[in-house]
Amino acid sequence: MALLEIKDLVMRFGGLTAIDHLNMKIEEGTIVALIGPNGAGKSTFFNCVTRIYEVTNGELYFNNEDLRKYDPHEIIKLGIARSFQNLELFDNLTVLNNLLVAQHLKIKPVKTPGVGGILSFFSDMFLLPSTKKVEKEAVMEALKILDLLGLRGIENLLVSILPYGTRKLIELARALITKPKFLMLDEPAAGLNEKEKKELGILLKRIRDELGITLLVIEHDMSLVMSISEYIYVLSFGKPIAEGKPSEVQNNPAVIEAYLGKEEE
Amino acid sequence: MTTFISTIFGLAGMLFFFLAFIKDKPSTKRTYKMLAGAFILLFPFIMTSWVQGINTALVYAILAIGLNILLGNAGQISLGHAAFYAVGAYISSALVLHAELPLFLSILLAGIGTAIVGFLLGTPVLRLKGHFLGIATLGLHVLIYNLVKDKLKGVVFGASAKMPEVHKISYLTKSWEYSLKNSLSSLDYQIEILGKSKPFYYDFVDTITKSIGQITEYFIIFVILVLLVYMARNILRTKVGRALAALRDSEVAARMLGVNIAIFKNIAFGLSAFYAGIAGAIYAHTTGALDETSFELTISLMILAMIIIGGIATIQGAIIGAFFFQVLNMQVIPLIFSSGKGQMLGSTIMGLCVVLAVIFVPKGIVYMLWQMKIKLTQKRS
Ligand SMILES: Nc1ncnc2c1ncn2[C@@H]1O[C@H](COP(=O)(O)OP(=O)(O)O)[C@@H](O)[C@H]1O
Ligand SMILES: [Mg+2]
Repeated sequence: MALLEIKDLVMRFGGLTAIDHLNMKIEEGTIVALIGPNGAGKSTFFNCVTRIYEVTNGELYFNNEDLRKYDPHEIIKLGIARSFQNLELFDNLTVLNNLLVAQHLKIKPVKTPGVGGILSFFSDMFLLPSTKKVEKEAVMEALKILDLLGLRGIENLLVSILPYGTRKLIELARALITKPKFLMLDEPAAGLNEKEKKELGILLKRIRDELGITLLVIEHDMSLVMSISEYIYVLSFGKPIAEGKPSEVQNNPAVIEAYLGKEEE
Repeated sequence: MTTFISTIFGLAGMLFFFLAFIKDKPSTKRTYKMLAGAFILLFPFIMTSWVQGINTALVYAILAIGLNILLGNAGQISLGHAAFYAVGAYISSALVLHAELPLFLSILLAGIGTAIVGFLLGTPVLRLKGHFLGIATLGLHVLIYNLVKDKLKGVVFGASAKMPEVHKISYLTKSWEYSLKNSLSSLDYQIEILGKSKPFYYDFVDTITKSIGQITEYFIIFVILVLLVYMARNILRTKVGRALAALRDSEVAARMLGVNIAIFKNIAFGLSAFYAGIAGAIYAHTTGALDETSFELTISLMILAMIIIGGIATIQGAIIGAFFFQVLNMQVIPLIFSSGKGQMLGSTIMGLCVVLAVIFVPKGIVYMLWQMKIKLTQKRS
């Protein structure tokens, strides 16, 4: 059974069909790429999976759960985390606080069922030992992730003042700290230089190998896509035009045409 | 002479606050903090004519802290915040008058009750965004304003709309007032009948006797403010505060991380209403006159202006803004203009201040002070 299974997905905005009958199966432990020219519907697909958009038609299953039963804020509980094409960091917060927000569901000073939320609130209000303990644990966890990504030392800086490449990594750290099963990255290499792109490729492989996280990556940089992914889906104007192993997709005439067509514009 | 002393004292107090804020070295900072603390304790006895105005500033500070949680921290606007101020005032009044609950319990319950009202009203209102939300909260204000005017006033107070003396905070020290009056009349007796010379402390005792009620209010409101600041600070630094800041900066990212933004917007409204409710209750138990004019729309707008001038999304900013406005309004403007004109010019000048602040210190006084602090630290190193 696939980790993520999409059947016949259609997403329309008024008259525009952003995704047109897409089928997809992603096996656990793989790195999959989703490629296609701008406006193909790739980011829209992420928004469908994470329930930000209500799909027009089709079925979405994650770990055998019907995703359509969940609200956007519940998706994380299933083990799905994501990044955004245009960074969506909490700009007025420090790096550390960004990583603490990501532990929102884990930070529970009082775990009593039912009234735990309210009791936790009072524990926070008076900074009781129960609050101090979980806050400290959460900070340790955040520092651990920063260490993993080689970002130690910037935890108390506001994210808005950091360079673009660093912010991309922080968004990745913020997704990782939720300990997802499945991670969706929307153009993680955009705006990075060649050296950073190489490092990113290595990092993504480590995330899969060492943390066992299944990856779905939207990416335009073909050498990165070819070097990390085991399977590729190609979208063009919302339509799935090809899928397969990198070597298969690379030589597919429909794919070449879609990309050449784009270059002529 | 006494105005001279009180002016020097007031300026010294401001300097202590400023230095306690700006200094970095822990030992120096502690010294100025202690001096500022001493100022707070001595203030009502030396600057007695200022106490009433400052009491109002303290209440506004509570309101501003609350609105700042909603606007600054959660990024949701409310233009009708005075509505919650009214709700708190009326809940507390009803509790002391009809349920005969003790004063402080009523104030606390008024806060909680207003929080619940805010939380529930948040559900329909907070689905809206930006200026639509602004207009909806304005509508909320009109609704509650008219409710007070046409119904609640009569139901809670009968004909008068006045809080009886026994339910006022100042009543707590009524017995001290009587004994002070007694000692004063025995002094009078000694001076007038026995022909003794007037002791140097006579005027002081006289002033304190007249103002003991206000001085009592000052200390009580101050303690409540300190408690509320402590709570706000802790809430904003932990889970709830972070979730509010997250949904302000990026709703979509907050949702992806598990923040139920609908509920947290309600919580922001509820928290903000809690502070407004407490402030309203205090207002009811100090001022005593509780008709609808106490909760005019201008109050909502003024609180908004306080936050903008003081510094958005910070607790200090809310407090500084409240004091800035109130001191300007109560003391500086009447000083410059004759009393009649002062009233009208007051709001003009306050409006001007907002415009100037938005142009020159768009992030508020508190950020300006931080910048000063950073510059001073850099110069030294
Ligand atoms: N919320 C929306 N409302 C209307 N149209 C949208 C919305 N989101 C995306 N689209 C449209 O869907 C198409 C696909 O967009 P997108 O998924 O962002 O493309 P990609 O990520 O592949 O570059 C575009 O034509 C875009 O304008
Ligand atoms: Mg995109």
